[in-house]
This record gives sequence, structure tokens and C-alpha cells, in this order.
Amino acid sequence: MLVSILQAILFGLPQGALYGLMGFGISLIFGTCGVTNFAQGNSGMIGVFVGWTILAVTESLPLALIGGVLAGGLLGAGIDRVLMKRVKGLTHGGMLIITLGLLMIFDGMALIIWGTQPLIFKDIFDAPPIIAFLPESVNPEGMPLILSGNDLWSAVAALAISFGLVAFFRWSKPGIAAKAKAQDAAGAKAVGIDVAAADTLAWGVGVAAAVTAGFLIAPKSTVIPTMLVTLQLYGFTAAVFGGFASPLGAVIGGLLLGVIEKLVVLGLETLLFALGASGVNALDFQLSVVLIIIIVTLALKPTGLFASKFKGKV
Amino acid sequence: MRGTLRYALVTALLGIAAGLAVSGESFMLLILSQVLIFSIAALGLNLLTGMAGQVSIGNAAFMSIGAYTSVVLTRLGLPMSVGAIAGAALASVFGLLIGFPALRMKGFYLAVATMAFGVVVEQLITVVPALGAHDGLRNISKIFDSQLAIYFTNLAVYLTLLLVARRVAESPQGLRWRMVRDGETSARSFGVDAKKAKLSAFMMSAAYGGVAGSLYAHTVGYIRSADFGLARSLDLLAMVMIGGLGSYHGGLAGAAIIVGLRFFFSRGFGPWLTVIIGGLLIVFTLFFPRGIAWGLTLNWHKRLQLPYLWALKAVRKRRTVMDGKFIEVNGRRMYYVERGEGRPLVLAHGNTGSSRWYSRVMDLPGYRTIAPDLPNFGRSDALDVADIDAYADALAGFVEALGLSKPAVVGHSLGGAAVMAMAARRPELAGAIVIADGAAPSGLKTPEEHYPVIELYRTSPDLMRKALGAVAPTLKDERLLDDLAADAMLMAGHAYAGNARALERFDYRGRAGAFKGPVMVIWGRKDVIITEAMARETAAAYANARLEIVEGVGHSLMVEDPALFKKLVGEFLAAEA
Repeated sequence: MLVSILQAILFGLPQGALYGLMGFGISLIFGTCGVTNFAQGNSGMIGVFVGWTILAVTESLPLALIGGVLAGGLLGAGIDRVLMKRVKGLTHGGMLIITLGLLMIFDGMALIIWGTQPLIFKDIFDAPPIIAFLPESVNPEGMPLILSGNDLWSAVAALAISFGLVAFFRWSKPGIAAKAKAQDAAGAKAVGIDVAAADTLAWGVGVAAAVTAGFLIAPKSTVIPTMLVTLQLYGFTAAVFGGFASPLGAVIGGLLLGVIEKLVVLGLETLLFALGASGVNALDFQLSVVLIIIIVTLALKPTGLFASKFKGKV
Repeated sequence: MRGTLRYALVTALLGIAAGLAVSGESFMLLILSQVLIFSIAALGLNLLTGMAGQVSIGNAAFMSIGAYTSVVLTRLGLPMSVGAIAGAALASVFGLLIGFPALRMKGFYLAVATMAFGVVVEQLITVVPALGAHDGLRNISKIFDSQLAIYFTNLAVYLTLLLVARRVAESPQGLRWRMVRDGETSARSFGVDAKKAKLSAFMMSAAYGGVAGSLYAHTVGYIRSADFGLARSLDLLAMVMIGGLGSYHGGLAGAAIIVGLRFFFSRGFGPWLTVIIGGLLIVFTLFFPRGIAWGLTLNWHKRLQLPYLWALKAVRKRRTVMDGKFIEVNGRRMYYVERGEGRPLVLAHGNTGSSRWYSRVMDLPGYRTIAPDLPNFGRSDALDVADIDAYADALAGFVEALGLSKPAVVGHSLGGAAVMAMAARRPELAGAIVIADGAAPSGLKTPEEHYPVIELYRTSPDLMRKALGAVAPTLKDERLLDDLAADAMLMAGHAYAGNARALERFDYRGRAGAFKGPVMVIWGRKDVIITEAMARETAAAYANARLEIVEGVGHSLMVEDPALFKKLVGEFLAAEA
């Protein structure tokens, strides 16, 4: 049992790192601009498709990754400059509905340009899996703990990028400007901060983060228009855990979510096995359970699990 | 209520006509049915999003719940109506459940929660074999065998739910929703229970979704969990946004466009359709946030009534009423009607008025009552300007032209200002004056934002009638109101904004008191234009004016309570004679 739990945690952490990266972008955009970006997943997907196209043409993986992330950054900045600036300060509902419109547009565009056939994206990290055995005293069955190399390095990359960006937005000048804008737009403007640039930066970096998460998940999900839809829901959940406006909270919330999810599946499998329900697959319930966790968290603790000191902004 | 019924009637007639027009083609009828079904769901979403301000992107899940409940129950042998009601009830229970988190959430959290709810419902249905899992349920019993009968059933349900929605939205409950939408904190400070308001909106919205789902199942005959997924919820939102957030019939326009597009693009163009709907969502949010319904409403007031208006003017301008006559005053013809013999009593109407406003008080024993149409109004010739002094001079000229000696002069509203001005400029002309709900000596400022609406009166007899209804709130005679509104449309075009500006310029402070004769000021408690303070100001402008405050009537005593008007004026004039 102990091994199963440890294994679940070990599977959960790499997933959680991706959820955290996705949640980071959502929180960053929300925290800075006050928009829940429902097009986050699909914007990232467009970036991944661009990367895939570059890979197909040049066969250079670094070029593909850089190109895809840059495309995502430009897309995000473009959304802010072309669409969002028109509705800023008007209504949150309006901005939200625009992102829903973008969600549909990107979905349709990807189908029109790249079709429905799943496209293969090769593993970014080619490393052997790690296999470890626990001492026999705690593990009488002798089951090994397994972690695939790609998962391990993806998780390391996702966490490094997430924490790097969190640090950037915490300590660099543009990052502090974005934070200042988030706390008090008028005040930030009064002390000479380019508020519009802060918004564009948040959108650009936020969408680029989604593209990165897309690249890291692409070897498993294949490259299809719906590849990031589920990841976006997990990103929302991670952001909800973290209090929605805190990028660091979202990264940590993501890791937590990854582990919870795998433990939930383990628990459900055990339960179903005990009940003798053989025809039901626990994985079918995985997303639903996670989403119910979102709804309950939102209802009981809307400020997030690690309620921060941040109390401005209505 | 009259407007609601008229709208429902027009929709019903158009709906029946559309159904009969394509009665032979069951495919077209199926499309029309779907338009109505999605209109019901969009109406439900509009109550939640447009009225109560809660954005939901999981409303298709309520349709799903309604559809599956209804199908399961009918398969157990229960009648379809029971299935539909049970589906709506179960959906509203879920609406309550998802509404609870909403109580503590701001808009965007709520959107995430409703999205999650939609996905959960979609996914959980696919793991239940009894509900057909991914394959869905087929061979669902239809409402009727005939596609036309199915369509008419959908139409009847839509109209019923439309009337219910309007009834609720215009009740205090609907007002509470809008208060919560526009400012939750301020709504609370007025004693609105925001929790209850939001929950009730969620439940009603969900119930509408449930009914729509049930109708969908028994109209199409085949349901899949994926039919009610996120894409469908977004379709519903697009229908609401395109049709008009917060409008009752906007959803119908939105549904017609989206369902119609879906069939137009049925083969191989699905992705383009997604792009187009997403694009429409953005374009309408950015540029037409009030949707098609608002555009139609504006056009109705600006253009669509013009043919009727031209016909009305052509007929009315020529037809005289109550054996009226013309008399030339200062080179222009003035129209007037008169009744009775005795002491002369001149009755001057208000803005957008005519001699007809006095038609119910002309028979005053012992008096020769004379009601003119002021220049710019009714059947009298127009002036180049709209100005109170010009009206006062016309009135003075009218008195002289008829050779009246010391007549009593009554002025209503704008006419009250004209009488005040005439009496100040020519104190020797009038024997006594009565100012009924008239503008005060300091003038009457019309808020700048009303001017665009005032311009709309010019082209919309419908709106004019509503406005007059508001200034005569207790007038129950619909025929008279129709006639007053029709006469109002004869006013000179420049006078619509012009009269409001004239009342704004009007200033007889310190001058009104030049008239030393007897004065009576009448004011109705329900007046929405003149305040009690203004009425008191008018009375205070004269040395010994009598102020009559009348409870229970609005701005227009002479049409609202003619008997009381005659009694007050008669007693006042008798006492002063």
C-alpha cells in the first residue's frame, strides 16, 4: 500500500508541475488584468501547432520550441493590444466573454489549418526511466517505484520555468510594475508606470507559459486542437487553490492538485475493487472528482487554500 | 402588461405563419422547433446573466439534466408532461446546488465553477451505461407524430415561458435581480437579500434549461451527452449576447442566427462555424453590447413607425375635432374649440398637447370654455421658434382676436408657463389665472440625457403614447390616450427638443408677480415632472395665490379626474368673481 501511495505521488508531481505552469499563466493574466482567460488553453495550443510546423519544416527542436513560445507570446500580447484594450475598465463580464469567443475562434482555426489528424510531437527529453526499490522492511512485495525520464525532466523544466517566472515577476522591474498595476492601476499610473505595457507583458508571458506547458504535454497528448482543454481546467483548479490572483499560489496549487488527483484515482480504484465493480474504470471519474473539488473549494474558501495577505482589489 | 400581450400575440402569429409556410417540409419544421427550444434555454440564461448579472458557461448542462430525466421517466411509462416538469425540477435542484458556490463568488469564479459543472455533468453521463454512455439514447418517443404539431407545441411552450419570464422580471423579484446585478453592495443596503436573489435566478434559469432539454429530446428523438457540452453552453451565451443581454426576445433572434448557421454550415464547414460564432461573440460584445434586440427596438422607434406616422399626420391634420374653428392670430392660423355660454374661460394645453386635453372639462355651466391649439401644436400653424414668450404672445393675440374681456385663463404644464408669461407681460388681459402642474418661474431643466429620448418621440407614436401615459398615470381611458398621443404627433418637428429648451430658458422670477389678479395653482401628488417644491415656488410668486394639492392624481388633473378639475376651477372662479 505504501508503495502504491508513493508511486501515486511520484506520478502526481510531474503532472502537477504542468498544472502549475498552466495555472501560473492564468493567475498572472487574472492578477494583472482582471480577466479570467478562458482562451488560455487554446492560445497555448496555437503556439504548439506553430512549433510543430517549425519542427516539420526545419527539423530543429530548439528552433521549434523557441518559435512556438515566441508565437504564443506575440499572440498573447496581440490579444491584449487589439481586443482587451477596448474593453478595459468596462466590464469583467465583457472581457470574459471575449476570451470565450477567442476560445472558439482558435479551436476552429486550428481545425481549419491543421486538420483533425493527431500530429506526433517527439519527446523533448530523451532519458532512461528511473527505477527504485524501497528497503524490504517497508516493502515486502518488492514492487519498484517508477518514473519515466521524460516525465522527470519535464517536471524539472516546468518547475524551473514556473519558479523562474514567479521570481521575475517578484523582483524584476517590469515584474514589479505589473504587480503595482494589479494592486492599484490609478496609483501605478500616477507614479509613472506604463500600465498598458504591464498588461501586455502579462498577456504575452501568460500565453507563452501555456505554450510551454503544451510542449511538455505534447508527447503524451499528441498535437490536436483539444490538447490543452483539459489542462486548462486543471490550470483553473490550480489557480483556484492558489487564490486565483497569486501566480506562486497557482504553481504550488498545481503540484498539490497533481498529487491529490493521483491519490483520488488510487482511492477510487481501491474502493471499486473492494466493491467488486469490475466494469468501471476509475480514470473515467478522475476529472469529475477534480472539478467537484474546484466547486467545493470555490464555495468554501474562495480566497484559496493559502489565503494570502493580499486584500486590496474588489 | 398590454405590451407583453401584444408582443406575445405578434410572435404567436408570426410563429404560426412560419410553421404553416413550411408545413410540408418536416426538416424545416425541425429547424424551427430547434430555434424555439434554444430560445427557451437562452431566455433562461438571459434571466441569469442579463437580469441577475451572473455569467454561466454551464447552462447546457441543465438542458442535459432535463433531457435525460424526461427520457428516463417516459421510458418508465410516465407521460411526457410529467417528464418535462420533473426534468425542470431536477435541473433547478442542480441550479440551486451550483448556485450555492455562486453566493460567495465574484463573476469570474462563478464562470469557472459553472464551466466545471458543465464538464462534470457531461462526463458523468458518459460513464453510466443505463444512459447510453458515449453513444447516447436513440428512438426517444416524440411529442406528436406530426412534425407540425411538435412545432406548435414548442411554440406554445416558448410563448408561455416568455410571458412568465416577463412577469417575473418585471415583478419586485426581477427588480431585486437587477439591483444585485448593478451593485451587490448597494442592493444589500436597500435590504435586498442578495443570496436569495441569486439563488432564485439560478433555479429559474436551470428550470428553463430543463424544459428546453426535455423538449429537445422529444423533438429530435436522439440525445448524446456531448450535445450538451461546453460548446453548447457557449452557443447559448452567444445567443444571449447576439440577441441582447437582458432583453426578453433577444434570445429568439440569437437562436435563429446560431441554429440557422449550424444548418447552413452542416457539411464539412463545422470549424468555420465555430470561428464565426466566436467572432460574433466578440464583435457583439465590443461593438453592439445591447444586441440585436436593442437595434430592433431603436429602429422601431426611429424608422419602422414612419409610414404609420405619415398616414396619421395626413388624416389628423385635416380632420377637425369637436367642430373646431380657425382664427388668424399675428398672421398665423390658430385652431380652437369652444363650448357653452357665459364668462369666458381660456384653456391652454401643455407640451405635446392639444385642445383635446380639455375635452372632458369643456361643459362648465355658466362659462364659455375655449381651448386653442397653441402655435406649433395640433392643427394650428407652426412658428419658426419654440419659445414660451412666443406662446404667451400668441395666447394674448388669441384673447384679443376673439374680443374676450377679462377671461379666466387656465394653463397646464408648458401652457402654465405660457399663461404665467402672458399674465406678466399683459396683466390687463386676464381676469384670473389657474396654473395646473405648470413650470415654476425659475424654469424647468430637462436632464441632458433625456434629449435623445425626446428626439425619439418625434418618430415613434408608440413611445409618445407611453410617455403621455406616464404623465397621466391614473387615466384609464385607453381610447382618449390613443387620441391624445395621435394629436401629440402633429406637433412641429423642431418643437420636440425646442420646447424642452424653452422651458429651460424660461425665467419669470420677480416678474410673474406683475399680475395682481386672483391665482390658483393646482398640483397632483403623483406628478413625475413638477415637484411639490416647484408648485410652492409658483404659488409664492404671487401675492395671494391659492395652492391646491390633489392627492392620488398625477401631472394631468383635467384628464385624470375631470370632475374634480371642474369643481376646483368652478369654485375658485366663483369665489373670486
